Amino acid sequence: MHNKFTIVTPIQGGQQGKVQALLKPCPYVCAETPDDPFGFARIETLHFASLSTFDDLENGWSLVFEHNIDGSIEDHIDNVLTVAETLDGGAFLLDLYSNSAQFKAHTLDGLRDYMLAHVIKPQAGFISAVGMTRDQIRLDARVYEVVDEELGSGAPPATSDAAAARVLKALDTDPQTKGWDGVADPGTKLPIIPKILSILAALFHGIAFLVLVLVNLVRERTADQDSARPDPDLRRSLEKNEDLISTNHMISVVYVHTDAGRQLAKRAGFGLIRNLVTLIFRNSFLGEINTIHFAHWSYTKDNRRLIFVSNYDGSWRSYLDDFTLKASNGLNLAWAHSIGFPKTWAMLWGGASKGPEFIDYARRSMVPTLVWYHAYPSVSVTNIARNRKLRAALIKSKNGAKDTSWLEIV
Amino acid sequence: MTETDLTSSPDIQGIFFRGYVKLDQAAYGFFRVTDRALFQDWLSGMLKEGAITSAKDKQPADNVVNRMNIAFTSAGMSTLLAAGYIAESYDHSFAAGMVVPERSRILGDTEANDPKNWDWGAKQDEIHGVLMSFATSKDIAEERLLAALCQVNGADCVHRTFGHLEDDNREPFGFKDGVSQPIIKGTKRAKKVARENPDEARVSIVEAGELIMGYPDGTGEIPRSPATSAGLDPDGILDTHPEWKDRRDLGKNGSYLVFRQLAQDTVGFWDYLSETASGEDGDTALELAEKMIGRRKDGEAMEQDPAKKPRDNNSFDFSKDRAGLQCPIGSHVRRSNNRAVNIKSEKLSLDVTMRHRILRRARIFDDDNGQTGLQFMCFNASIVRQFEFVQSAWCNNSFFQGLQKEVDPIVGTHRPAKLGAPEIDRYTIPQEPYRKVLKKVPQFVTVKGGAYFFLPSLKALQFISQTVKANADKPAL
Repeated sequence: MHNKFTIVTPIQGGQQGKVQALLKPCPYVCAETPDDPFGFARIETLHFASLSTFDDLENGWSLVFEHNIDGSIEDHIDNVLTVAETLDGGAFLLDLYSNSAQFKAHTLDGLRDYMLAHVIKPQAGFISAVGMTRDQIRLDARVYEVVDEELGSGAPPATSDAAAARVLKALDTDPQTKGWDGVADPGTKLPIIPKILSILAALFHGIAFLVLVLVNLVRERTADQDSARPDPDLRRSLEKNEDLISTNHMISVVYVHTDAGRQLAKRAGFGLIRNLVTLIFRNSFLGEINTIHFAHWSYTKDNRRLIFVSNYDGSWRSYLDDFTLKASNGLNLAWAHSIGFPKTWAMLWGGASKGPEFIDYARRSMVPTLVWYHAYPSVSVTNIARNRKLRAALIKSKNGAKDTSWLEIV
Repeated sequence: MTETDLTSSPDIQGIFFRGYVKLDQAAYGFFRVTDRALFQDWLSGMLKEGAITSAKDKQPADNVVNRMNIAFTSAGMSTLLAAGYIAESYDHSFAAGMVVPERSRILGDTEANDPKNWDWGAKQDEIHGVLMSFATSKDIAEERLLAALCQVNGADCVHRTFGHLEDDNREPFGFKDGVSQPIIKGTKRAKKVARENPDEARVSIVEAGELIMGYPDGTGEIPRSPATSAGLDPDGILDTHPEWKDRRDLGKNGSYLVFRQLAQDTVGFWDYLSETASGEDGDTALELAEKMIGRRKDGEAMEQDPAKKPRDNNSFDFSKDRAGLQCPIGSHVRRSNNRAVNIKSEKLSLDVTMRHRILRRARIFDDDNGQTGLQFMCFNASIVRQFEFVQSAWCNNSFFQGLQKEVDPIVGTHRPAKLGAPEIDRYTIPQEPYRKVLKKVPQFVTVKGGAYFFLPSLKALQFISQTVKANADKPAL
């Protein structure tokens, strides 16, 4: 089971510079690097993590710690703290959070409680590798590597059967794929009871959404749109950290309208997204978008700010183009009634489909990602889906299946 | 608006619509403005003489030996317009320039392509503009360029480079170049293609606003356009800006010009292919090269309907070859224009692709150091959305359409393993029963120079040439 969440903690007045300075020397992509003070690569439950700070007109600065994980939130936070303790007795994490407001007990136990108290679960989100643990993704990737190396070295096998035999032998002997056929894939099928519950929930939210859209229509059409260009310095600070590898991270924090009508409409919209994603998008891709690993939307505790975090393949520009051309309705559901958002109709049309205005809005709403961790930077969403299929087919092959059509997907 | 045939517009610079194929020699003078007023006087004189050619001047007749066009970098526009340069109104990549670190990474100008290895253009703000001189001989091209630039014109010539066209439009590896170009809707050519070859029309015709400012683009909107102060335009040379009503539209009938000098290791390319190919049927050096480029050497498409006569090179859409068995998924042609197979839906794929088209105008260079290659030039209404997108999201994306550890074998940048990501220097050729992978493919093409330019309309040039005077008469608002 996956979980995705953020821990949003207030920073003491004037301390944001210190927090940013503490995070600045951290490597931007942390996979397998020894100088990572969080020890992310040692946290076995972790797929992606990020840290950023954002400012708020009323509440001042906050620290956002994003986690995309296997298993429960509690167990994961325990893992984070255990790794921190092993690394430096927890000194770095305690130093970081000593700048947070209301964090009094400067112990790892105290930090555990503090983090748990500030966990924010998302309103909606998407995970591509449904059901796959970090270790399964890595194992599948290694299986692909072995197959790739085997088929690419020496004289090509004379027949498909000979190729299959060679590959299976290599997998059994490679130390990194030991027990490769014994790790079960939980699959992507949604059990019947959660399925029925999701259908009912989708219906409920759908009906509520329709009513609330009508209620808010005038406010929606008369709300101000902000067409300002992004600040060049902000844009540069964001672009500076993009495309370091072929996967990227973004975090956006926007103000939303806080009147009850629009808040409720947004809740209904998120409920609809949440349940439709659960029901429909279970096979790696979000419709025609095949680049998102983990993405989610959360409200801050006071419901005034909406945080969007995403870990995606390819450039930011192509990601936003995907939104504009392939998923503008879904994006509108999530981002409509945000202050300054390009004008929408019924929370579905307009908005994100207006390319330049929407792209500027998204850029303006972003804050620099200070630290980002990616547990498997060598594989894309599409690669993960292919590797999953490949290992499943190879297990069948090992068990006697004659079908060697898996060679086509290598 | 697009129903008017823009190809004979007296306001659009000639190079946008014409390859000047009869003027097969070119000289490019990159200059830096040292005296704004003097330069504007010079530009004004050039315009009065009709030295800057518009699209109205048709393909040269026999007695015409020279055509000239001019474009400016953001540093140039800022110098020439001073307070009238409104940075936020330009494409932000143009405003920043090609060589700032973040653009370098987006473009793949790292490793072998790092600007520190360039012959020109690496220094931000060094170049203010380019004067392009096309002629029937290299001597005339150079002579006319120098005659123009060596006048007392308030500018220093920073760098010069020469280009030419080969017969049959071959690029230095020997392949026919410029086969697939976007065609502007409403032009005579577009109408002819739409009538005679609907398949080609489907993958080629774009709205004018995709390539030139002032007209609706693929979304039906007028693309964003550079603006300037109304106070600098007392005579009303320019139209009111479509977005800011208190400003003037400097962009209409103009376009962004991307200029890249790409050195091609022709010996290394063919040596590598000869060593790698087995020489057996289907695996010769030429066939391997064609698999990398994604077209036959004479420009024919890899995906061919054998029944189709005459042989067709531009109406395909890869939909019958999704797996890339004929034209590999990672080939240069497929990465830079993947037509209807971007994603599952063919229609949506094509919509996506057509938002990222560029109009190319390349020539070949042979320099004094023995380097040869392409002077790649392209036009687009947005550098970020078009040229940079093609370069970053497609050509240099190591995850392009399910691939891994490889980029465009021709214009991609090979990279060492870093930050947990693997070394990127492979090339995959899909075939049955399973793909062939070429490993440690050398870098055949390296960037040796480049800059982003704005190609103004003739009216905008006229405006630019009078801003010092206008400013003296009536200060900018």
